[in-house]
Amino acid sequence: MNLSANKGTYAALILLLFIGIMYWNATNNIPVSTNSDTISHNYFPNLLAVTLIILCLISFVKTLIRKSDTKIAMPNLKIILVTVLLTVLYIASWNMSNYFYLLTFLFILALLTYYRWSLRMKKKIIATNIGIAIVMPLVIYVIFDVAMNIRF
Amino acid sequence: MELLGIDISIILSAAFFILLGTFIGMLIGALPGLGAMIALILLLPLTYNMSALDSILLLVATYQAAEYGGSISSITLGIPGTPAAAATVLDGYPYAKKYSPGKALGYSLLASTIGGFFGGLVLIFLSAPMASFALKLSEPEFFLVGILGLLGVAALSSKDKIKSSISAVLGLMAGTVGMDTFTGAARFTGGSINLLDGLSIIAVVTAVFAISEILSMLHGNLNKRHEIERNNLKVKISFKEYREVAKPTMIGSTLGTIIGIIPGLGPGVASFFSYSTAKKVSKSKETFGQGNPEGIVAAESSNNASVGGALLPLLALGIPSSAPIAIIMGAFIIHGIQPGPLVFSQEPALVYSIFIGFILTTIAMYFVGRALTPRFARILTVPTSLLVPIILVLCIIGVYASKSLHFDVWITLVLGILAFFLIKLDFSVPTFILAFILCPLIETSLRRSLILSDGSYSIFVTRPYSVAILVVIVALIVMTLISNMKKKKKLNEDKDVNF
Repeated sequence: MNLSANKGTYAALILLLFIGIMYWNATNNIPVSTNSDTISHNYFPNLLAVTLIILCLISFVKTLIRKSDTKIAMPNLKIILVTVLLTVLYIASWNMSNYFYLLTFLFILALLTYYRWSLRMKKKIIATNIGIAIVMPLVIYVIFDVAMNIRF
Repeated sequence: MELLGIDISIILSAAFFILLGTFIGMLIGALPGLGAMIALILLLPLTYNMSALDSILLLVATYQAAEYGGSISSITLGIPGTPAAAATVLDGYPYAKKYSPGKALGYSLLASTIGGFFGGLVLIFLSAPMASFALKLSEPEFFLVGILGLLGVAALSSKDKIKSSISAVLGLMAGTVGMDTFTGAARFTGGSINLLDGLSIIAVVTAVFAISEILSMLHGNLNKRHEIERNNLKVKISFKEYREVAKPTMIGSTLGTIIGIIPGLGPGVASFFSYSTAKKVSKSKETFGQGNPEGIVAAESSNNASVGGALLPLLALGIPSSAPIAIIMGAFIIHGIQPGPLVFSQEPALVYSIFIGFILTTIAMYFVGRALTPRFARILTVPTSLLVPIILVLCIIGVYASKSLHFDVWITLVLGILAFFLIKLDFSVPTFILAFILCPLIETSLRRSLILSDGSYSIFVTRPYSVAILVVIVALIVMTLISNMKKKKKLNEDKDVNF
């Protein structure tokens, strides 16, 4: 899949302009200190918000007057989206339960199976996938839980 | 038990982490698409429970070894393991094909060691004088040095300077999240207590470098296995052979160290610049690109020399000149140490131990490289489909382990996806990260300067040191504009010719 660099830039700049305006708005909603000896905490953020908005507008105009457009190659977009989706599910389920090691095993196994599906699920490949999915949580357990006392 | 008044357990522990960092850095550096940044990000969580010295030496050894590791795939596969090893491909791969991969790796390893050693010596001899000088600087100068660092990175790290500048502003904005150190006001936290300490450095760095890189790795053929020449991989080089390439090694080491000091350039620029300089002064320049060992040593000595050079502004000024150094700075901060001129008086034992450790990392790199390079070369056949799930999980748990917060993991995922798309559109990730790391220094020194001057900006133009830094800033902007205009002119001329 190919995306237009110009259209992508417009979308990104609109998003960044929105962020800039929200940031500027949030900056001016923070109560200002009554201490006149100090430079207020919204001084620097205001400077940044204004700079961001100006730079986004310049970049917008620059893209508008640019005659050429390039294509951004996005091969395997479906694989990327599935990876992100599985990662979201993994983090969300870990957030809601205490089964970190089981979830990690399932997450790794799911990714490996999905990525290596095209190799056809021969016994050796299935065994490798399961082996890695078992070894990884074990390694994490030994390094983080046993050695570093970090609980997941 | 003590040796020369130093506890032996400290020495053994430091030696162990140097060897561990060297091993992991070389391994990850060798894998195409990964490199020093991912290696550092994966190891950073392991440093939480370690002493400051052990963690910094682990990361420095990793960085050094990853720069050499990048040459393993450059030479054996013709694919650079790290961006800094791209120049090594030009002569390393043809040399390996024509003569022997082991000999090419031998040139690379010895050049990397000499380069690393040279960079280390410069670090040792220049950082204390530079820190003493830095003590003469005050708030306005620190603000301007911070701005200079940002401009340097913004000017050099992306084709589109406006987008680079936007990345810098976004990084600074991200750095303002959390409690204001002057007034205690909560800024941009959305009422969340998780953000009172600001965005986690580890979460942000992992997002913009590791998650975006992992998603980019998915673009390629996931199950492709690289074929390598399995014979003649033993790293060997005679003294006589190496003596013939001493000159390009010294060129690479000197230029690499200087370029490493300059913010934004880093090992990638250093190796290409040294390669082209060595080619210009070589008696056999016509054989460059066809397997000339001078090309291998110039590039490799340079990228390792830049590591020592890059540590210099961090230790002397507290300013990271590249993204990997920003991670090493993160390790200092995690252990409650603020790098900068005062660190020499506040933590002298730590600083001088880092110096000794730095030299030891180059020695460890040489011996580990000699012993294990053939094995690392064979690991290159591991396909991306196996690497991605492992690295992804390690990144996620690394972020969680820093503060035990799922919130940080979500931040990492969201920022990582955003960074993935923004990189495609030529926004600059290194600029974003350096701005994020430098934000406290820039904001604090700006506000303190204005307090000192009762709100007058004249403080930035009335002090000699400030004026000197301002001149450098203006020169950098002018040079960037001129270089842009030249590039545009050349592009238009090329278009006319094609038309």
